Amino acid sequence: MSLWKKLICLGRRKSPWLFHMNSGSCNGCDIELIAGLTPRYDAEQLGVKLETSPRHADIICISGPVTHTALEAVKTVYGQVPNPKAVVAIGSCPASTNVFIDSRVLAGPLDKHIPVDVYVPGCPPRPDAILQGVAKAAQILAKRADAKKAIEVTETQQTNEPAEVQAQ
Amino acid sequence: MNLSTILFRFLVFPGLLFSVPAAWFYLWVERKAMARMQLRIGPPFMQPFFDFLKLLGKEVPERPGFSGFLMKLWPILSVAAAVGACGLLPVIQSGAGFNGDLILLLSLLEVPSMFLIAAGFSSRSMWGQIGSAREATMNVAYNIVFLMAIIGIAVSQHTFSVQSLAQSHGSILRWIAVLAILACLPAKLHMNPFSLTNAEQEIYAGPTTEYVGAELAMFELAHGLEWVGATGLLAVLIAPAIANPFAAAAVFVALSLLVVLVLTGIAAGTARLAIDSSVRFYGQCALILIVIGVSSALLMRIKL
Amino acid sequence: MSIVTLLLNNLSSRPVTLRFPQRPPAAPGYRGTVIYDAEKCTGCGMCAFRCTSRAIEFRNTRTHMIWSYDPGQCTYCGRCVDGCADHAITQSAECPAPYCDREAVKFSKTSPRKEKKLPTGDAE
Repeated sequence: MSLWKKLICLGRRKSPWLFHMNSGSCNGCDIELIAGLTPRYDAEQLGVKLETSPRHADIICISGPVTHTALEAVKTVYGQVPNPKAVVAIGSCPASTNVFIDSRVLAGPLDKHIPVDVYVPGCPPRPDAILQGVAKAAQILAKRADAKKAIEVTETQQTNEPAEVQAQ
Repeated sequence: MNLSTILFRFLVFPGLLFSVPAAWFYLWVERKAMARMQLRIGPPFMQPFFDFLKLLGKEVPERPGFSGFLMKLWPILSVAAAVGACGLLPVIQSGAGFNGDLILLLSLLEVPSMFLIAAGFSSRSMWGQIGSAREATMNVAYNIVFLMAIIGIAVSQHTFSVQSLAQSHGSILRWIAVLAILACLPAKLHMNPFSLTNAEQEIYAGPTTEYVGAELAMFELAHGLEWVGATGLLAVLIAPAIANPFAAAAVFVALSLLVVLVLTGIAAGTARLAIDSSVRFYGQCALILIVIGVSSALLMRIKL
Repeated sequence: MSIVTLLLNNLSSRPVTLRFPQRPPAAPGYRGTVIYDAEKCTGCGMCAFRCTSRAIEFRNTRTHMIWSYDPGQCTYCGRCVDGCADHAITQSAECPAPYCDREAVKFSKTSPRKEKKLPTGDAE
């Protein structure tokens, strides 16, 4: 890798900016994520900044089993985050819909719709576990060698995603 | 004042080669001091530089039309103007200033805020428009006080050259002006208690909501350069006259960092004021300054 | 205490942050990942019945019992632990770690069925 690419990968590993999205969760995971910004856990020591616009972020942290109402919003936000990006599913809900399994209002686990990189299990996970998950996602981001390449989308996901997400 | 001095001041010290790393350094000092005041560790040393690198590696989406061109234009011009403002600061005493460069310095320091407002409107995003409207209101409010303070001391010393202003003897008026400028700096640098432009809970990211990658990196760099320029202006007004260039540069950096720490302390200890309270505060400051200015002008007239 | 004294005190104290990757110790009785002990299990299937989120699945064949667990589905409530009369299920005192692969983290154990132990006095 050339020096420029090495520097960019270093920057990506050291400066993961998060965007947090709640796709129907009970807020337990959201509270634990915000607790990760408090002095005891201090996400800023890893360079993590909780960004307020999806356009500024690298890592999307999604909590909650994806409800039908939130599904379009999740896909829109995923499309808005610029490449390269990583997705962290916080809690057991986005990984598998947890206790809400087979519920009529849910659009299924998160990886049916967007590719997920790191799952942080727990209900809710502890803030230090969430920070470990974010650090892992930052390392995955740094290893994505080509800046312009979108994340690989598997075949099952391609049928579910709308056109604007597929064009990424 | 010859071409080589101008080029040296704009490109090397205190221009581009000094001000860009200084911008990252001051941003780090601000974040680290804020963290320590909150009993946190804070980011590691090279963090603003890593943020910059990471933003350069992001893919920028295609933006059709003239707005797309404007969205690329505003950040670059902001950085250029801010570097120019830093280059004009009379850190080392040399003959390189000219009468009127105070006006140029003030207008170049204004450019990043102006272009931030323009950027919010060009991005055609609702949050950008609201953020830009707020920034415009704040801009008018603090600029009345800022410009009144600087022009007040400039007129009282009968000079519009920054260097002569800095070298002239300090007086009560000078310290009142320094206090007034210190009160304006939080609004200029989007810090608490006047951080209305960055009100995350209310308007997402404000004017920069739609900016991605290299454009955002340039805006963050322009913000850091505003720190260098604004704190540098205050440092230059406070600093005593020192002949040795290295000592003068060291004192300049030390005083700028002191101003950074004071501003961070103010930001750590206050909450965000709403728009009416912010404008009212600056209106009251302006009123006090008007009273002081008019009465000192009358007093000087009577004495002479 | 005024805010200025508070800030100055904070500046002169050490930060209270745990340096990454240091983690605070979990309290005793923390409900972490479910651990299955095939030796003690008698195959009643109570854990799968009580499981809130169908994370535990239990199947008996003629000769074997198959116990499978998905930590991504689990809500770490502890009803399985409470319902197991044989204390074959316990919960780890460490919180579960982040993972990348949904399938790799699922756990399944097949063990031979045990003989039923009936109380004495019954002819069999």
